[in-house]
Amino acid sequence: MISNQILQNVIEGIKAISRVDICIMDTEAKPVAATVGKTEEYEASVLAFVGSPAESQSLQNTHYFKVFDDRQLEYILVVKGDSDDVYMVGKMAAFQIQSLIVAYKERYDKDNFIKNLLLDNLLLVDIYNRAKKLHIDVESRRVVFIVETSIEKDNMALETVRTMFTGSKSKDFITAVDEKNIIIVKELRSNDTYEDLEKIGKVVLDMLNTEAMSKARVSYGTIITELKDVSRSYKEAKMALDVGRIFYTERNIIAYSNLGIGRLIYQLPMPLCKMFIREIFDGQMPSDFDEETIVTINKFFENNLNVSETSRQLYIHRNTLVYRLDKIQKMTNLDLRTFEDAITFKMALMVVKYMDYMEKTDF
Amino acid sequence: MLKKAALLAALVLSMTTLFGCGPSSIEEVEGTVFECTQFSALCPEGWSNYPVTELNDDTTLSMNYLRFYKAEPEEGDNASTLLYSNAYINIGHYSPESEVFISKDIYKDVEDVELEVAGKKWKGYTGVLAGIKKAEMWADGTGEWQVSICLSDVDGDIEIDDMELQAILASLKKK
Repeated sequence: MISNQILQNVIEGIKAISRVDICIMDTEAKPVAATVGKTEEYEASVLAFVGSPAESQSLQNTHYFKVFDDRQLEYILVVKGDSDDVYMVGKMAAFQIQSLIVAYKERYDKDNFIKNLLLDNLLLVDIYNRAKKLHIDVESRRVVFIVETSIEKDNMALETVRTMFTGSKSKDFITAVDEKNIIIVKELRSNDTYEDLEKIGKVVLDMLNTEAMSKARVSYGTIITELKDVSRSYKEAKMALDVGRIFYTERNIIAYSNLGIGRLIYQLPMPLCKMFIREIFDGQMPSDFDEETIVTINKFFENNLNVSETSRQLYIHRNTLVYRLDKIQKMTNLDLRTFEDAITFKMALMVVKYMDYMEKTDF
Repeated sequence: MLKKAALLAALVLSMTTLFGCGPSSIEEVEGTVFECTQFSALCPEGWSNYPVTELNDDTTLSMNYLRFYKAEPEEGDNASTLLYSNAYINIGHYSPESEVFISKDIYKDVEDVELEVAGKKWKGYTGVLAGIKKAEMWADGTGEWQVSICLSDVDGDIEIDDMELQAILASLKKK
């Protein structure tokens, strides 16, 4: 639970202050952290001390202390020197490590609880009882953010996000249920709105770009008011990330509540999509259209079917645009100048994007 | 006329294939028995067991929890990818004095349910939350056996009296 690196930092810090060498060994006398190079000389004494009922002992110019985790012997602290001052340093170091074990255990317990909560692994009775034990409020407003970084197991990004959200008074949780995504369960104030969530997303992206030099995308679910619904907000954020990857590649903050028609298409079965595309394009796929036609269509949609504005933005004469739209009509039987045909075409393009994505991801 | 009849037969056949003709009784349900320290339960064919770990130690399997998904295991699947896409059941076993928490107020279309399966009387409620249909139930008026079920499934929602679901409940055996 508590990493050896943290223990090493602690004893190095104590040595820097007190100039006393310390070694931490496990109950099998294997060194966990040490400020001295050779630790073999303590092995026999440590093993004998583990078996003794004493909590501390002084032997051959060295003090030995036991460190417990909930009455279970966890480490033996070996402190070089036999003076009273060294004994005091050893006692304080043992106390410090014991406190760290408790603190890390609580953090670890919370992390595991939140992971299980995200995956809806818990029954109500466990959610309420466990939350009470871990001092987690069950009725706060919360939302789940997912941060997808470009690198798998991006520790730098994880640490950056942790630094942002885990202050001394923070009630937010940072965790991961897989290697690709960082999950933030954020507690919200009573007046926080979806606009505030968008701002939080932007801050996360900015921080990751500057601090962790990492490209990322952020998605978030809907606001929930009960702890047991954390899994729903997580599921929504996950879906937002997937739908965004297919349809809104230009966006790097994606809200579940803002997925629009993409969310509907994402849930369509593949055979239905294929049938629809066959009917609309009659065997020809939009990817077969030349570049000029695709640019024209996209621009025309961007400008809400406005012929004048589209031709202006494409630097072409209005009649040229009309000619191109006529050409598309001949190819597809859809007149993009009419609302109904335009929406059919737009949906067909999105369905094609979805089918391409599904094929690439081998679903 | 013959063509019409053939078409109708094909339609009926495809409907049967699509919607399945599942088991009509608990006894017909086959599967594998999974166990944790405190109890065992049947995981029907077509369902998968997803190991749940202890709340304070993610390297130790839970002593009082089992979780089954209505899906064949596939590479890359995990509890996260299957969440709310497939029906699932969380089964917990506690001391008979354990509390039962009721959280009806956050669901829509709440309906109380009662079910008698293999001598156990299950009580609880179903409700819809953001399009997901869930059920919370407990047995024999105590908190000893508690289940939470996601009834929404990508292949069509399952009902609370689904035979496979009932077979799971009927198979619960305390060690």
